[in-house]
Amino acid sequence: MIASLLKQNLIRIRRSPEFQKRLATNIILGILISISMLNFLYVSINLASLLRKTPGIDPIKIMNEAAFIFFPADFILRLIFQKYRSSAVRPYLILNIPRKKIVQLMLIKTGQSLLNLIPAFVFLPFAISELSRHYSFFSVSAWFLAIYSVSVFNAYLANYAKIKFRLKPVLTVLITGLALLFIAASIFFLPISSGIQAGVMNSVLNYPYLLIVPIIGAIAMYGLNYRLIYFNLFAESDLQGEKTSASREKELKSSFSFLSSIGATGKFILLEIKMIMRNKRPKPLIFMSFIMVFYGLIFYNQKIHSEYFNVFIASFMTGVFVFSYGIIIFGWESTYFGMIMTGDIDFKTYLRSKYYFMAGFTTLLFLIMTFYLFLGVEIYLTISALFLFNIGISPFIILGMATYNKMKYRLDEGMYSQQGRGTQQYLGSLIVLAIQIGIIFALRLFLTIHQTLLITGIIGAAGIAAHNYSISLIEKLFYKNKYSMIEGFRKS
Amino acid sequence: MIKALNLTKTYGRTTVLNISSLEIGAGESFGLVGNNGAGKTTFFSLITDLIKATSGEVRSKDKNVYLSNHWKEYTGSFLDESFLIDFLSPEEYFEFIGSLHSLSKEEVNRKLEKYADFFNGEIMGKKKFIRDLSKGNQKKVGIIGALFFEPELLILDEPFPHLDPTSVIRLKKIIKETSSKGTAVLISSHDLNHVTEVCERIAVLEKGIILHDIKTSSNTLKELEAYFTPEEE
Repeated sequence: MIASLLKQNLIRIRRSPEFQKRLATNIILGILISISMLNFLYVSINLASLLRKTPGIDPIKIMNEAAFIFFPADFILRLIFQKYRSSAVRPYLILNIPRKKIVQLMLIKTGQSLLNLIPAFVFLPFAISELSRHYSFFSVSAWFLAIYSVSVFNAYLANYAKIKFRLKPVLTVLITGLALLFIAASIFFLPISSGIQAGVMNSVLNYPYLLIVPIIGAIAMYGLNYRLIYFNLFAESDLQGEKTSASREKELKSSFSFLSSIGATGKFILLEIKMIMRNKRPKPLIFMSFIMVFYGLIFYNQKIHSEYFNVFIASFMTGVFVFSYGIIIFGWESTYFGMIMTGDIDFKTYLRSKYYFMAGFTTLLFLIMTFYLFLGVEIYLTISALFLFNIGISPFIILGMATYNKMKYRLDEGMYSQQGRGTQQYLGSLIVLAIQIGIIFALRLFLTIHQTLLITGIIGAAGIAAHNYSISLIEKLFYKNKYSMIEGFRKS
Repeated sequence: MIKALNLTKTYGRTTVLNISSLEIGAGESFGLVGNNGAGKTTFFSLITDLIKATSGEVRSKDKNVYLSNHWKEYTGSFLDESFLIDFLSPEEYFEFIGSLHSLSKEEVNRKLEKYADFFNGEIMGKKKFIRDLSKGNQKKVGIIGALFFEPELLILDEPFPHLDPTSVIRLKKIIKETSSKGTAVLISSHDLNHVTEVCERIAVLEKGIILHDIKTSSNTLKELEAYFTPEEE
């Protein structure tokens, strides 16, 4: 039965409009993934011989340590990219399919991820080419399978964290945050050279039966997930209506009443704010943006005095809201897009409100960033220049790209949910980031850093001054793409 | 009011709508009946410029809806749940729509008073968001949201399902009243009874083509029933 359900799942993926429409992006992404996989493979195969030529280094020790960098990285990647979609099995809930099977199906699907390939590309070739020269087949297999088991453990731990986040957001964020801090601390403060990490993996080579430990860990994690999903499969779908009644809502009106007094634009911004504050999915994004303001503290404090690095961090801090929120700016409204399209709404005013909202919120973040002055004028100038660029130029590129986004974006999904998200969006954000960094690096080839920042700032200011013109350009694009947006948003 | 000229909509090779000429006058109440997939929603979506016609055009007050936004000023429509902003309370939703037609909060409340019966005390002042209402009550919010500002053209796609019997009777009354005040009403429905009761003119749509276009009389219901009865029975 599981096999036939899995087959149905494949059909679902192949026939989904997302898959078909994004075929081109998928192919590009596939090529990129293949290239990086081949890189891994090449490095892994040649690593041993490379390392052996360097005196005083034991390749096995290095690889054993690498495993301990891989484990947390794998977990974080899985937390971000691994998909968990309960909606896909919803139709099965009312059919004559045992609940057990449905849960198994979901867990198998969760386990299926491209990330599973990484250990095979990174560690397997090394195991075959180097380890097998020193250890028995049994030991080498145990070594590799141990790494694989930890990866499986990660997969289900990440999944567990995601489900828990839906059920108890605050607690989960706290625990995940603490765990990540702990991982970071153990990487930075337990020096690799202490040999603890290498020792652990080495003992697997020497005592292969230790493999049982990670295997039990992985099975236990699977079991925990199984229990959790088994008992929450229904509760989860019912969760939406409960916590959302208007009675719990704080009166937004009073704090934002000034908005309704500035006419139609203010009206739409007010609607946008309500959308964010009253829905599960957009809300964390706002908190994240505030946290990102302090992102620079981690890096600017270090003794790295690279101006390029400064630019990158400043670009990210001042742009993260525009990049992440803006790229799906119409998607946020996909569930009531019909109303926006048929209501007596002037699209220019509507688009202007989108711009004012993004620029306004970014300005608020920028004001908080004033404290970076304490870290030096240089850093603050960089942030200011990038800020101007990110409210003068980036919002329009993003708005334009957003008109090509046709995926319905459900507001009641969790923050980590991948529903309605696609590579297209991630690529879009990356492109805008790349554009501004590219411009700055290009200018820097001919100018001093101060001149470069000045020109970047001027470009941004010019963009702000010309925003009405840019909006009318976006309006044309909007008219062109609105039908495909409406059609896409109507499909659920 | 509405003119459809050589209007077609094609998906791939399938033509889902093909209307060579159709005119709906101001103040007329027009019912569209047809089986699933007959093209009713497609037709309404074309009138409200939600989809692009493959060929031909829809003119509202002699202006092509694809080229001008003028129709939005006097058209109220409710086709599906994408017309509801579900994280607003019903009060906020009506106020928002009112503000699009330059109605103050007080004016909106005054206009909504006459629908108190229809709302049956389950909608206003309940401190609930629209998404927390039952399906039937959501539908009521959508329908009243489309007509309370007294549009000149009202478009409702399948307004009757999900409503309880009392509400259906009240809705029919509301639609008739709206129509008698000079609003042109376009309704689609699977329910022949309801349509014949509410509309002065009824068209049968089948596979995208208008087959019958009749003025409602005492015989209409029988004619329609005969038309929709499968032959083998």
